[in-house]
Formats: sequence, C-alpha cells, structure tokens
Amino acid sequence: MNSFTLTIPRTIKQTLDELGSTKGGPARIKAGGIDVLDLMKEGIEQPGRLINIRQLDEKPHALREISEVKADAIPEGVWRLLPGGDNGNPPPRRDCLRIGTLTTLAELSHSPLLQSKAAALSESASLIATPQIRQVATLGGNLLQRPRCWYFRSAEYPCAKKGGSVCFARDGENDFHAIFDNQPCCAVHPSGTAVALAALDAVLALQTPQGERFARLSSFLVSPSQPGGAIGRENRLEEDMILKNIWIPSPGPGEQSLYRKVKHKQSFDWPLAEVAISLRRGLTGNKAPEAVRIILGSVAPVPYRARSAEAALLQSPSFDAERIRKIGQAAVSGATPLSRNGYKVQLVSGLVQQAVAELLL
Amino acid sequence: MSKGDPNVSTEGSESMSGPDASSGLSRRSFLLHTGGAASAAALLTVPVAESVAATAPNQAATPPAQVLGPGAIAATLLVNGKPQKVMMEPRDTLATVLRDKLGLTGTKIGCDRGGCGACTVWVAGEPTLSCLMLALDVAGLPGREPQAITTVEGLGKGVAMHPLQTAFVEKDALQCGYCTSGMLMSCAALYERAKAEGKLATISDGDVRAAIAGNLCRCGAYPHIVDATLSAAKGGAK
Ligand SMILES: Cc1cc2nc3c(=O)[nH]c(=O)nc-3n(C[C@H](O)[C@H](O)[C@H](O)COP(=O)(O)OP(=O)(O)OC[C@H]3O[C@@H](n4cnc5c(N)ncnc54)[C@H](O)[C@@H]3O)c2cc1C
Ligand code: FES
Ligand code: FES
Repeated sequence: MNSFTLTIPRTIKQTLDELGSTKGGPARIKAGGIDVLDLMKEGIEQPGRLINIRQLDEKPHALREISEVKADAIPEGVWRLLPGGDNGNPPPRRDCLRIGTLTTLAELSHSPLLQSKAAALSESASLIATPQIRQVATLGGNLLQRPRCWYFRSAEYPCAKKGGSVCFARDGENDFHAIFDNQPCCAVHPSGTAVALAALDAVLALQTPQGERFARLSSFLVSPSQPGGAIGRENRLEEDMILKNIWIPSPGPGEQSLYRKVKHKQSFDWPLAEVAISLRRGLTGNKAPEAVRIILGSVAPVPYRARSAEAALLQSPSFDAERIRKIGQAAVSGATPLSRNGYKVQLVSGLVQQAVAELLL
Repeated sequence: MSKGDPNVSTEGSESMSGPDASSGLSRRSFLLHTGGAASAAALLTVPVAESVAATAPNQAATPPAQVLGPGAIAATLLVNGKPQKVMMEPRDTLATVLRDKLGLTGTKIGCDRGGCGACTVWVAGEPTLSCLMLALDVAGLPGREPQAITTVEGLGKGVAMHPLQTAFVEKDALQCGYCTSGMLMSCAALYERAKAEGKLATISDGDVRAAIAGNLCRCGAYPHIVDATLSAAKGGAK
C-alpha cells in the first residue's frame, strides 16, 4: 500500500473541508475500508490522503442509524423524488425509512424494522460477502464500491475503465460480465444493496459545500452508455460530495419486496445473478398486482430494470407456471451475452421466475 | 513453551517452514531484525435550512480534524487485555502490526484481500478481518479509547485452552493448520455469544456453517471443524 496521511474528521463540515483541500494530493473517503484498502493494496488507487469517516457520527445526521420518519418530517428534496408524482404534480407525502450511510451490512441484515418494511434490503445485505466483512462494511461503501471485473482490478491490465483503450473482458474471460448494456465496458455493478434499493425507489441525500443534494438511486448510478455516464465511473458522485443518508418509502398496504441471489459457492460468494422485486397488490378480490419493480443485478454496469418483465407481470390476467415462464423470458429480452456468459441469460430468466412465483403463487 | 499453550501449535507449524535451526534464527525473528515485509446535473438541488454551516454544531467548540502520518506515530493497541504502545503508520493493517510489531503470529495472513478469513481476530468481541483493518482505526488516540482486540493467543487463559481449542485438538479439526486460528476465532465467537445468551445447547450444524462462511480451509477440514464446535457447545452446555 502507498503511504498516506490519515485524517479523522469530527464533523461533516470538516470532512468536506478536507475533501476540498488540495494539500497533500488526492483524497479518498474511507468508511469500512473493505473496498478502498483492497484497491490501494492492488495499486489501482494511491490517494495521498485517506479521510476516515468510519467513526463519524454527527447528530442530527445520524450517520449510523436506521429509523422511520413520519411523512410531514420528510425533507422536501426526498419527498419530491418519491414515486407516484405525475403530470407535474408532486408525489404524495408518505412515511419513509432513513438509513445512515455508515450503517453496517450486519446491522442492515439484523434490523427488525428493515426485515418487516424493506425485506429486499435486509435480505441483500445478509447475503453479501462474509460475516467478518458485513461487520465492518457500510451501506454507503457498498453502494460506492468499484466494480470487480478482474481486468479492472489488476494493475497489469491498463483497461478502458482505468483510462486505457481496450476492454480486455470483451474478448477475454468474461464469464461474470454484463449481458445487457455491455459496450464500451462490460463490468457489472458490484453492489447487492444497490439492486434492492433500486427496487425500493431509494433516494440518496448527499452533502456538498454548497448544500444538500438529493438524487434517486436509479439516476445516481449511471452506466457509461447513458447520458452523463463515463467509462471511468459508475455514479454521479462528485469529488466534493459525501453521501449521508438513504431514504426509502415505507411500504403501504399490499406492498412487499424480496431479493434473491444465485452464487457458485453456497458459503459465501459474489453473485452470478441477482433479482430484487417490489410489488404492490390490490387489497380486495384476487389481489391483482398494481405496481411492480423488477431489478436485475450482476447483469449490467448498473442495476438493470427489466421493464418488459414488469409489463408482462402487470398484464397477466392470472398467474400459473406458464405465465410466470413468460415473465422470466421477458426479463432477458434484448440480452446481448458475450463469448462466455451466455449461461446468464437462462440463469436470470429462471431466477426471475422463481422470485415471481414466490411472490404470487 | 509448555503443552497446552495456545501458541504452541501455531508457532510450531510456522517455524517448520522457515527456521534456520543452526543460527537459531527463525524466519520471523529475521523479519523482525531487518524490519522487513513489510454528473451532477441530474441531481436535484433543494435549498434547505439544513445546510452545512447551519448544522455544524457549535463550531468553536469542535476540535479540529485529527491528521496522522504519513510517518509512524505512537498509538495504543489493547490486545488480549493488555494496552501496548506501538509505532505505526497509517497504512499498517492490524494484521501486520499484530504479527510484525507485537510478535503475535498466531494470526495468519492468507489472501490479504478479505477472501479467506485466516486473519480473523475479534474487535470488541466480533470476528473481524485484520488484513482489511487499519491498525490506527482500532488504536487509542488522544480523545479516543482503543478498541479491545482478541487474537488466538488471547482466546485461552494462560495455559488453559478455550473449550474450542480443546475440541479442535480432540476432533482433529485441522490438517496444515493455516486456517485454524481464524476458524477458532469465528467458532469461539459463536460459542461465546450463545453462552452469554444461555443457548449453547441449541447451536446447530447450520449455525456453525454460517459462522465459518467467511473462513476457507484449503485442506477441507470443515466436517471436523463443525464437529468440534458442536461438541464444545454440547460440553459447555452441560
Ligand atoms: C470476499 C468479498 C466478497 C464480497 N462479496 C460481495 C457481494 O456478494 N456483494 C456485494 O455487494 N459486495 C461484496 N463485497 C464487497 C463489499 O461488500 C464492499 O467492499 C463493502 O461493502 C464496501 O463498504 P465499505 O464501507 O468497506 O467501503 P469503503 O471501502 O470504505 O468505501 C468504498 C468506496 O465508497 C466511498 N465512500 C464510502 N462511504 C462514502 C460516503 N459516505 N460518501 C462518499 N464516498 C464514500 C469510498 O471513498 C470508496 O471509494 C465483497 C467483498 C469481499 C472482500
Ligand atoms: S488474509 Fe484477511 S481474509 Fe485472507
Ligand atoms: S487445515 Fe489447512 S487450511 Fe484448514
């Protein structure tokens, strides 16, 4: 690891000041450190200054806390980005869950509040990495970690994501790479919690020296091919910004969510494919689905919204094995697998069928 | 070293790989001598009262950010109940400080990347990877108490082994022994937690497997490790 100065700020303001300063070379935030130390050991990142926010807990920001906030106390910036607004009308105000960026993955998995109100998020956290890592890794760090493409992670490969000109995975060992949106870089987004949070319509609260900023997770994460995207980055975090909180609408009546992950090795492993679904069902009669998000993970540079599968599900007059098979097929329509990851197409289709069946059969 | 000292097996297994018996210099003490080894447009901006300046609590009273390094500084580690002042750089991981500066080589480094669990120690009682933890993150600094670190050397009390260590010996829960200290820390944490909750009798096969999900054993001693933990739990529950 390169040698660096370790700064321990006591407030968010000090953190921003330190980020904004140019003295001592480029700075990096360290939360749990699981990703950033790995990148530094590999020599992929060599910050002159590491800003350790792990123990930062500035009230009232509650950076390591999970709580439910009443509708009338939701910040305006969050409220305006909640789902349900149309024709220029703002979405209805509703209760939300607020999760501090420094909350650990272990805390997310064990939280009774999340288990009952944001099952997809606590399930995703409980399946990430190992018990030792979940003890230390934070939600913010999980969302902001860099991809795990082995060419990107190896200093020996000057790949396009690191400023080179070639994507070595395209014609190389691309077994675990993207089957959607895989030009010009086919690394998949590494974060399990991002898949769950995208299904849950999460809104991020960020802090810059100029004030607070809010963004939907789904527009904050951006693939190189999307407007505002760039091959060297996975999100819109700017150098002078920090993530503070993640907000998710509390489920209303008839709303539920789940997260499922397929991996090679059952003890712990990176996912081969992931899916998170949030679903609202009618309260009467046959409780027909009224709204759904189906988000696929480990298939694209950012969590991938399977809109055709959502449409197939909402149009289905009833549910049986055959109709659910159609939804699974719709989920992978338009896939462009690479030389070695064609298996993912079937795998994802099957995973979606399994998850939909769990919710609806 | 007497029989029953938790250091024995780990020391022994390592000195096999590299001591120069004639000079009496082990690979480790050699290392000690040489000091070696070691776009924003899409974001919605809302002018809110809760701006940075407004929320920084009582700025005058807030002490400034601490800036450490890049050179070595003295900080206190609380290891196995004993506070020790150690010189460390910001980039030193807990694993390297334990091994190279405190001589606690029971903690092993396998992958050095979070993937194998060989370096597992307890931080405040919780199994944690010492290879991905900066030593300064758990050290005592002006205005901050050190966090309690427990390594495999501190698992037993003196020569009395922890029930898990005894069970590992009895059930032959190791072959090469490289994963053993990490395995012990994960299994013993499960044991201690269950004991504190009065639930030792209910530890299941699945509980042990979940507890060691982050510990790889290249020799495949898993069945014996699970066996040993269940047997220790049964013994402790009596
Ligand atoms: C063996 C292994 C298996 C794994 N398996 C999985 C898996 O299956 N699924 C999965 O999702 N992940 C997996 N991971 C990745 C792991 O979950 C992440 O590395 C971890 O969550 C990162 O969190 P952290 O707090 O340690 O982040 P850090 O390393 O501290 O930070 C990561 C990045 O986020 C930035 N950052 C952090 N917090 C903030 C903030 N508040 N504001 C601005 N920037 C910030 C940092 O600057 C850095 O760039 C695995 C890791 C390992 C080692
Ligand atoms: S050495 Fe720390 S996990 Fe492998
Ligand atoms: S006993 Fe050899 S690695 Fe586990």
